[in-house]
Amino acid sequence: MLTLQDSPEEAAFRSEIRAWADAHLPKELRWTEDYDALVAVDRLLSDAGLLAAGWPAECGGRNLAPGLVFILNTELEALGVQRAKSPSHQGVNNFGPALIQHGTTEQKRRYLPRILAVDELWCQGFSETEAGSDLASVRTTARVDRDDFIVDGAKIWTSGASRADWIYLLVRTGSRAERHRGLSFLVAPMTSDGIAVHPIEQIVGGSDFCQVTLDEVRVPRANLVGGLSQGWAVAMTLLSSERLSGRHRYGLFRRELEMLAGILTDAVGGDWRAVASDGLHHLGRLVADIEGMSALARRTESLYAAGKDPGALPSVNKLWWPAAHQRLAEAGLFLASSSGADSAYWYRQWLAARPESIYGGAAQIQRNIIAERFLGLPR
Amino acid sequence: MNLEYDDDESDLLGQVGDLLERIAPVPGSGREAPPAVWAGLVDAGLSELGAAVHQHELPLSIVVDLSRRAGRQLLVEQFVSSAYALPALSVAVADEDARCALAARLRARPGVLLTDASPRTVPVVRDTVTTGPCFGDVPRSDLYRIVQPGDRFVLQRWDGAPPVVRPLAELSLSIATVTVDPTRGQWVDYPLCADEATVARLEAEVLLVHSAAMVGCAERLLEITVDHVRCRVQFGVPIGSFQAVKHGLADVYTALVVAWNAILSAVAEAPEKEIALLVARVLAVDAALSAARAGAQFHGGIGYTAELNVHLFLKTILDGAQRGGAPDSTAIELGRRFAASAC
Repeated sequence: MLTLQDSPEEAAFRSEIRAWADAHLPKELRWTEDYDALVAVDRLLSDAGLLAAGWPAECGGRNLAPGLVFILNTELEALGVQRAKSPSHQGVNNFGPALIQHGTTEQKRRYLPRILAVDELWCQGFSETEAGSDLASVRTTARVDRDDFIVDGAKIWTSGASRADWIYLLVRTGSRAERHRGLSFLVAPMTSDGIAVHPIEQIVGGSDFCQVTLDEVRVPRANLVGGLSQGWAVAMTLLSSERLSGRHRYGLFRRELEMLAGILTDAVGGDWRAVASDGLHHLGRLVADIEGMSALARRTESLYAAGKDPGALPSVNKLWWPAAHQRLAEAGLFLASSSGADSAYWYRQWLAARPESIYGGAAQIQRNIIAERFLGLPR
Repeated sequence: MNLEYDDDESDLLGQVGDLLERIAPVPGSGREAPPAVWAGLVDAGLSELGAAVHQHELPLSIVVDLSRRAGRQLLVEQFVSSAYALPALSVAVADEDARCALAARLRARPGVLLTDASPRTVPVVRDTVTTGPCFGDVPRSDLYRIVQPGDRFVLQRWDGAPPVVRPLAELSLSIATVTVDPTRGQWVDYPLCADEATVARLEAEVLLVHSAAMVGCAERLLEITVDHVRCRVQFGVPIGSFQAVKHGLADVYTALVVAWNAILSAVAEAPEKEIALLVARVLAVDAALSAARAGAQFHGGIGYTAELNVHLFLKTILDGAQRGGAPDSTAIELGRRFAASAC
C-alpha cells in the first residue's frame, strides 16, 4: 500500500534525531554558514554516530536502511544542518561511499575512520580547464615510477582545497585516445610535495573555490583506488552519490518558501488574505516546484528501500532541484527588493544557486543522459 | 513510507493496461474514440472503479495508475467521469433500489456532469442551472448534475428530450455546452447520503485521477514524438540527434516524472491534503502542456496535419487542462493555501 506514514521503526528514529538535536544542537549552530561552526556541527554528528549512519557497520556506520538515511538527512536539513555545506561532505557523501565499494580493506581501514571522526577533510580533484562536463578528457597524468605514481597537471573548481587534508584525483594513466578507459583514481595528502593551492575569488565573495596544481607529485601505488585504469567506475559511483545529494536540501528550500510567503504578507500589512493574486500565483508555482522535488526524493528513497533500480530518477532529480531553487532565489530577490524588504539574503542566493546546475554533472549533461539513455535518442 | 506497488499490484496493472490497449486502441487519426469503448470497459469490469474505491474494495492508488494507463489510450474524460466520479456518487445514493437502478443505468450508458462557472471537478450547481459545459463523450452520454437543495446533496439524471449539444470550442474533442429544455423532460432525483466533506474528498480524488490520466496521455505523446525524431532525417541525420531536440524532450520527460511522483505522493498522503493535491495538479497540467508544445513543435509540419494522430493528443491535453480550473487559478489557490499555512 502506498503510504508516506512512518513505520514504527522510522517514527522512533525520527524522534531520536529530534531529541538529539534538542539536547545537543545549539541554535547558533543551525543554519550557520561559518566554516568553524560547520566543522563543529560535523563533530557533533560524528559523536552521535549520525555523520555517516548509512555506511556499513564494519566501516564505522550504523548500516541504516536507505529509508532511515533519508529520514536522517531530511530531518537534519529541516533542523538547520545543511549537509551540502558540511566540510566533511566530500569525504562522507562522495569519497567514502566510493571507497566502500571500490577500495581495498587496507584503504578502508586507513581512510574511513578519519573521515568519520572529522579528523581528515577531503576535496575533489576531478575538473580541469579542458575537462569539465567532458570529464573523460582529463589531462592530468600519472606515470608509474616503481612503487609510485608521478602526477602532473592541474585541477580546478576544487571546493575546500585550501582547508582539505586530502584530495582524490582522476588522472590519466593511459593514452588520451583511450578516453575514460585510460583513467585511474588516486588519493593524495594535500601536504604532498608539488601540490599547490591557488584560491579563486568567487562571485559571492570568499575563495573556497580553488585551482590545485600538481607538479611531479609522488603518490604511492597503495593510494590507487579501484585498479589501474579503472578509475572511471570509481568516479561514476562517486558522481551518482553527488547527483543525489541535493534531494536532502528540501528543508532549506521549504524555509525559503516560508520566507517568501512572509515577504508577500508583510508587504500588505501582515494579512496573507490581502496578497494579490499575481504574488500568490508566483508563490504557488514555486511551492509546486519545491514540493515536486520532495516527491521525487521520496520516490527515489522508496525505490532504493525496495531494492529497485532508480532508473532516470538521479538525473531527473539533478535537473529539477537546481532549476527549482534558481527560480525560487530569483523570485525572492525581486519580491524582496520591490517590496522594500531586506534583499541581501536573496541577492546572495541568486548568485549562490548558479553553480547548483553545474556541479555534479551540469544540467546539459543530465539532459543528454535522459535523452540518450532513457528516451533512446541517437548520440 | 512506501511509494511502490507490490508485485501482485504491478502484475494486475500491467494486465489491465494491456486490456485497455485492446478496448481503446488509439485511433490513427480522426476526432473521437470508437463508441464501443464504454461497452468494453463495462465488460472488463472497469466501469465502476469509483464505486469500488468508495466501498473499500480497491485502493485509490490502483485507480490512479489505471487512469494513467487509460490516458495513454486517450481515455480521459470517459474514464474519469463515467468510471470514477459517477459510480463513486452512486454508492452514496440513500435508497437501495434507486442505487441499484442507477448502477445499472451507468453500466448501460456513460454519463457526464453538468457544470457551471465553478472550476470544481465534482460540481454542485443550482437547481435552476439547465445549461453549462460538460467534459466527456457528451453526445453519447447521459447528463447528470449535482444540486444541494438543503443540507443534503442530490444527484440528478436528465430524463427527457435529448439535450442540445454544442462544442464549447469547435475543435474540442471533449468539452461541449449542453442545454436541456425543462418543459420537455425532468430531472430524476437520486438523494445522496453525502456531506460536504464527502463531496470534497471525492472532488480531490477525481482531480488526482484526472491528473494521472493527463500524465499518461502526455507520456504517450512524448513516446510518439520520440519515435518521430528518431526517424525524421534532416541534414543527413535523425533530428533527434540534435541537442536542441534532445534537451527539449528531456525537459518534458523530467516534468512528467516529477508530476507522476507528485501524484503518487498526494495519493499516499491522503488526497484531501490540499497542498499535496494542488501541487500534483499544477505539475501534471504543466507537464502535459509542455508535452503538447514539444509534440507539436518537434513533429514540424506533419504534426499540423490530421494525417497523424498527434492532434488528438494535443486536443485531449488542451481539454483536460481546463478541468478543475485554469492552470493559473490552481497555482493561485496553491499559493493561497501555502501562505495560510506558513503565515
